[in-house]
Amino acid sequence: MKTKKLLCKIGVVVTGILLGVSVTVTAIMVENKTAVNNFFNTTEYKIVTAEGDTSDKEYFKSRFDNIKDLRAAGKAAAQRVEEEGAVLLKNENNALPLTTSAADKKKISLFSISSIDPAYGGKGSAQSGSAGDQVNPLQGFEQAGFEVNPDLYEFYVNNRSKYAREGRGENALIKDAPWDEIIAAVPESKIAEYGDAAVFIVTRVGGEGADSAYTGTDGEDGNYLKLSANEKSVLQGLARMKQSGRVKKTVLLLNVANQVECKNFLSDALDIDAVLWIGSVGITGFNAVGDIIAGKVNPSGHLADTFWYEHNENPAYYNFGDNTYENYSSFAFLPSLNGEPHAKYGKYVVYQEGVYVGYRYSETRYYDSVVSGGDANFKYAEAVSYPFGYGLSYTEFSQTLDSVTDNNDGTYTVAVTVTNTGSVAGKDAVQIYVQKPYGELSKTRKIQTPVLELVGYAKTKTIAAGGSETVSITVNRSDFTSYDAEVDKTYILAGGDYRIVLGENVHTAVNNLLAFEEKTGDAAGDKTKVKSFNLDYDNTSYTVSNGKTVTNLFDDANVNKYFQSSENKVEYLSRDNWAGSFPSGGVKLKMTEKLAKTLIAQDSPAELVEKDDAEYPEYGKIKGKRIRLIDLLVDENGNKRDESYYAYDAGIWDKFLDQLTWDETIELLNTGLRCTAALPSVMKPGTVEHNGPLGVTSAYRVNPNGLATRKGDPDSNSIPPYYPSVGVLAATFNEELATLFGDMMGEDAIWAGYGGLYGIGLNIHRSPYGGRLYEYYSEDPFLTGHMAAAEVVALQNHGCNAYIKHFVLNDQETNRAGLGVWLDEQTLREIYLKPFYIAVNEGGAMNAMAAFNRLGATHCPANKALLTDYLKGEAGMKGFVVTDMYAIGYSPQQMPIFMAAGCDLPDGEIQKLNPYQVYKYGYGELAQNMRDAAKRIMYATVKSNSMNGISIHSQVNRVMPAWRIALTVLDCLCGVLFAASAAWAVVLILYDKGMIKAKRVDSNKNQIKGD
Amino acid sequence: MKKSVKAILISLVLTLSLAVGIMFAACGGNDPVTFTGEGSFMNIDMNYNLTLEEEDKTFEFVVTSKNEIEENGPISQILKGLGRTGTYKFENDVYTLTFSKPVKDANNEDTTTIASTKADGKYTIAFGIKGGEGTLKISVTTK
Repeated sequence: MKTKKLLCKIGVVVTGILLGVSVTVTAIMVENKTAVNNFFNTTEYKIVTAEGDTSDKEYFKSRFDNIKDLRAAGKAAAQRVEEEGAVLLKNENNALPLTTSAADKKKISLFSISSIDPAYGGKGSAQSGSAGDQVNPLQGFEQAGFEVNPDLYEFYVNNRSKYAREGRGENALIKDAPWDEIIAAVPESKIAEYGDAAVFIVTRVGGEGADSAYTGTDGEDGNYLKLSANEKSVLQGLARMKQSGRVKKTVLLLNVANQVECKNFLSDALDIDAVLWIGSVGITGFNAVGDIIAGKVNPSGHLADTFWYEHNENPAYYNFGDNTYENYSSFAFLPSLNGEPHAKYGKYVVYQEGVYVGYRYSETRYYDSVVSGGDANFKYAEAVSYPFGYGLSYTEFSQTLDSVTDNNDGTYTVAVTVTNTGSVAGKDAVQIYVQKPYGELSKTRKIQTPVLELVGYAKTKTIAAGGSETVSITVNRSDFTSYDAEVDKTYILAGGDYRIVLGENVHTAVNNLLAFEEKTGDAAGDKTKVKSFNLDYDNTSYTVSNGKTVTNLFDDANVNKYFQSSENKVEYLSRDNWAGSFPSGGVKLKMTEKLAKTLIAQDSPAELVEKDDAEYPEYGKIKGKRIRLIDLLVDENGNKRDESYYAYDAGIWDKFLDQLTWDETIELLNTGLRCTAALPSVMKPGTVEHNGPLGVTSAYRVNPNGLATRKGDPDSNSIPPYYPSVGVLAATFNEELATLFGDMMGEDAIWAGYGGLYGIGLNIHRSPYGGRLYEYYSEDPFLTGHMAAAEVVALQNHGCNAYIKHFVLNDQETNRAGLGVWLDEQTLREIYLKPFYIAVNEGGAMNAMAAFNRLGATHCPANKALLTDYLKGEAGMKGFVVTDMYAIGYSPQQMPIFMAAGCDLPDGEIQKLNPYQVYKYGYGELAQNMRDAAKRIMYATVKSNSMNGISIHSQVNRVMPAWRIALTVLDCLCGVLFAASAAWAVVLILYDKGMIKAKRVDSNKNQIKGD
Repeated sequence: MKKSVKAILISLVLTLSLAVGIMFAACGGNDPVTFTGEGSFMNIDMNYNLTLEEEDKTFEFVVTSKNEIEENGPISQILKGLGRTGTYKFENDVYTLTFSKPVKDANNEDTTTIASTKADGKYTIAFGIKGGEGTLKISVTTK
């Protein structure tokens, strides 16, 4: 009996624990069902096709028959982008190309741990997938015809973990193998045997959540964008071997999406012959790199960023990273974390450099220094090594500015003839800049005016040696405007002379401009590459955009206007006073009561969502036959309707939305996390979105409703190609390749079943240290916006909606969740908002992701001026705004605040904590915003490939995914076991108390023994 | 003398009474008219209170919970959302309320004016508030 009791006790305890664990796990997983579904690639809905329904249900068709062909095309596209985007920075004595052939096979040595583990991409949301068939440097060079030093390769393979890069941010270690350890394993004689060239690959990896650090790493001076001691030792060793003739050439490959510090990397002492910037290369980029080194491909990339000689010459250097409001602890109601100011409230950055980002600073100051006869505090050669737009070729080109024609419609046609004056075929980039007048009006109104700004570009076709091509570039006069935040409070054209300037890069363009003005810079310019014309002052032509009046919206983000206090005052970098206004250190801001209260108020909807008594929309109103989402897309005969039927402003939407109940509306609005909810009542399918702008990194089978799964393609388990960093794409200056980039990702999306892509990244390369530069294009907003627009159009042509991000100012990763970014409105509009405006207005970008950081004091998703007035108003975005990863940045009760501001969806699931429930009555304005959000989500869905596979005869049904069924069965099983154990225990207790007796079947054989 | 004292005292009392009366007249005013009712919504048992201020002819409709609730908590927020304000007039034995934002009338049509009805000497005002779950019907009556 004692044994039975013990067993019974153990049974009750064990089954009780099992039941508790099972129920808890179930609750947690159901609570986070979207994340779990993402993990298991499952959905909570199923599209059921009617038997015998053979209608065409592919509204966005793939041009590929199978994944094998699709992947091959994607890999070829990735290679093409790298071929045209890699930038040849240095080529002393024509060190490259290193022609190789079967008869004269060049033998080379690949150095650095990156020769086996380079950066194909970055870290974080756009992390490269493990496609398994990415081309490594060895493969890339071998296919190009080189023979690669096998011993050296083996050395790195055998010591992979010892020399591997580690950590992120200030904890990043570059490591790599030092020279002494290399030659101890691979003698110099072996390196000399493969000494036609020594190719050293420098890799730096960027990623989400951490910037490249100024200090703390094992780069020189602790700086991540300088050489580590081990790297330097190898380059020094190679320089010695080169001097003794045992290595013929040293080639440096910059496998870095960011700009390295050139003074450190390219010092003469290292005796490097050729430098090729390759960014992060994507799945097949090393094929392109090998081909460029071998001369099979003539490099034609041009820098999309300024490469600084020393990074502290960049004015943004001084206001980047970690800054804490002084006086924070004086406000006891502000949260602290581990005794320190909470990063979500206490951190800021001031864009003190204003519009002078990248070349806008370096070239303007250079021009002014020449015009003024000298600037004691600025020497161009000590500031910039390679200017924006710079790039060498294996041939020579000449460019002539043939004509600039006013089309009398607000545009100009610029004709440029490019002639290949060298000996091999190649492509060239044509860059058109504008000089705007900088006179008294600009000075008195504090309108900062860079000397030149990019307003047009094109890439030639391949031009044979001796051949030429004339390209026509359309330039918009609207790109000549400046934002006057002080007087007209809108975009204006300053009256005066405007000059269209052609240049091989921005610096030669400035020298051409100087020549036109009969001045001499650091090199001779060509005044024939400048055309000048006069425009009148105009403060009326650019004051309305998409029907909205353009005026100041962001005064509150300007330190001087928000605080209006001498203790919180910023002198922005000004052309009037370069030396006096150049940042001398980070701007110090003090916490004030106004700011503190504003920061805290955004945590509480009671503070910001005011009761308004406005009219509520209709809910659950069905008159006649229910309208389903498919009915908007397809008529009763199954024919696809004209898009005007379901255009954003079409009347059908009111009827459609009236049908939704309150509960359906909030189910839709509470379900995010890279998806939108299915609503079976109106046959809205769930949508699944991919995270990251550089390629689909999940297997094609990721979504059961994707073409790969529906078609049962045998390669459904394979992972799509991964593309080079978009800085490489920008460096192509070729919108055809941006189109190809978007086109291939769109194709992958159709097969994988992704109705959207959490990208394209449109933040600005404000500083070389930005962690996610590999996801963003350039320091220039015009180039960023137009390359992105081309990519967006192609992507969305496949029903894969772009979620342009991170709107706005997520230009650094440090303290990104809650970081207060302060800047003036001219800078915000001309530099940081402009790419988003172009992507929406010209590319038709459907959706956007609001950034984690604040604009001034206000969270971006809580900023009505930013989302409602600017993005959905001035820019005219028709889709919806999603937050960044909700669980990292926000609490559920904040979502109504965001909704009131125009942010439509959390990137997370807050269904169980439904924050809208309390707004059922008395908050009509919020309810109208919720309806608008629902409309935008529906609109984006009907325009996406998520409608593929659905016909008017289909049904969208809720289903319980396998993991939920399994958990339910487990819960039941544990429950039954626990109940059985408990019942047994009760029986034993009752028996023990003599309340029941065992039945004696046989008094002799089955006698129950007492204790 | 005694009579004089008595007269003076009586005069003082009368004067004081008059002064007090004037003060009340000046500072006080008529009691507000109150309408009350009850309802239930989202499992919340509620009291409805409609207060008509005689002085400035404004009204405030407030909803409170019958049970103890957390201050500034979710239920408090919900009830706050049901509150309404406006102005009113009383003519021909009918109270006519003009709401600051539309409510629903008996036919579920949008309106800003609702008139009272009278039965058994009591006034009743009925209107609806449109929201997420359709129209919440509310009826309040004088005592």
